[in-house]
Amino acid sequence: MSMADFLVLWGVSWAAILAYRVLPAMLLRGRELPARVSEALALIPPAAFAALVANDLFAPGMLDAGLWPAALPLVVSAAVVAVCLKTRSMLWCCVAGVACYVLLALATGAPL
Amino acid sequence: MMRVVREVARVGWPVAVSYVVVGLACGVLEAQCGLTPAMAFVLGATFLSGSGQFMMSNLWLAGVPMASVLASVAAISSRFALYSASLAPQLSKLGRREGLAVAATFTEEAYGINLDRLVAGQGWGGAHALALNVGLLLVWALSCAAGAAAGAALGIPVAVASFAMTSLFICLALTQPRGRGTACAVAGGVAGVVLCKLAGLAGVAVPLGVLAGVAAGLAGGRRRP
Repeated sequence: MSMADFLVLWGVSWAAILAYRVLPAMLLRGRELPARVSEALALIPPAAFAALVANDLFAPGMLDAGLWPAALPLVVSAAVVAVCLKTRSMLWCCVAGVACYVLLALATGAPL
Repeated sequence: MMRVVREVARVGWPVAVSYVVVGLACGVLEAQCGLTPAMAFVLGATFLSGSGQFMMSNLWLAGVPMASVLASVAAISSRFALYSASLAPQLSKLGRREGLAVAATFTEEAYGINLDRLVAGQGWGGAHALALNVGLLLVWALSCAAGAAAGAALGIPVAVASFAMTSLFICLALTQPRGRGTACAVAGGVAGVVLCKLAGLAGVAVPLGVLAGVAAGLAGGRRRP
């Protein structure tokens, strides 16, 4: 990648994500929002995190490599859910997720 | 000041550890595209989104034209507008410049932590939010730069490193306030993403999934007459 390509890629991407980050917060600042709008805004975090998890775990061609490579992340996610319900700790969830993923992949010969 | 740093470090260090692992992998991929460590640092410190940076690198390596790369990255980054909107009520309580600085520098994980703690109060203010954002920004950017410097010598399996982020998101999703509306929002978010991906709309699956989740949460949380 040339410096010119990098500057275009970086400049345009940063401008876009900066606008996404800043404009809604600044435009909505200090405004008295209707109750229903406030309720909708409060639902964004659970919807967003669920969408991000689903985005990581599901893909249309996920079964092409076999049932177990596709199921491995889902099985590990179930373990992470159990750890989360028990500990409510980001650290333990992260450790459990990575450890289970590596151990199950090595034990079953699934690709890392 | 030191008290703020200690409190932020206590809360943010699990995220920082995951950023080191994923950032290194991201930097390795960026080096394959021809980015120097300095470029990787600048990109990481300003763009601040692992999914977008991974997408940029993957699309570039696949030979996708610049305009398509930019459009895809812009689409996948649009979810930050929804996060910003949901942060607005809390940022309104901060000074204008402080609120602007917090808005300009949050990552997804910092958004989840800051939103929870700003809503709960208990001494978490603008200084804490900004310190968390800046601390994680530096960890992420330095990790990307280190990965770009080390290159393929690190041999980090990207799937394993990425699963650290997935685990964090599972925790953030499950530690939201419970209720029927939240449960419907979670189900709607998952369903929205799955349907979008099946329809070939992977680039906008997350923002559309979020909108579907919010709609489901509003509908499901409504009390029956």
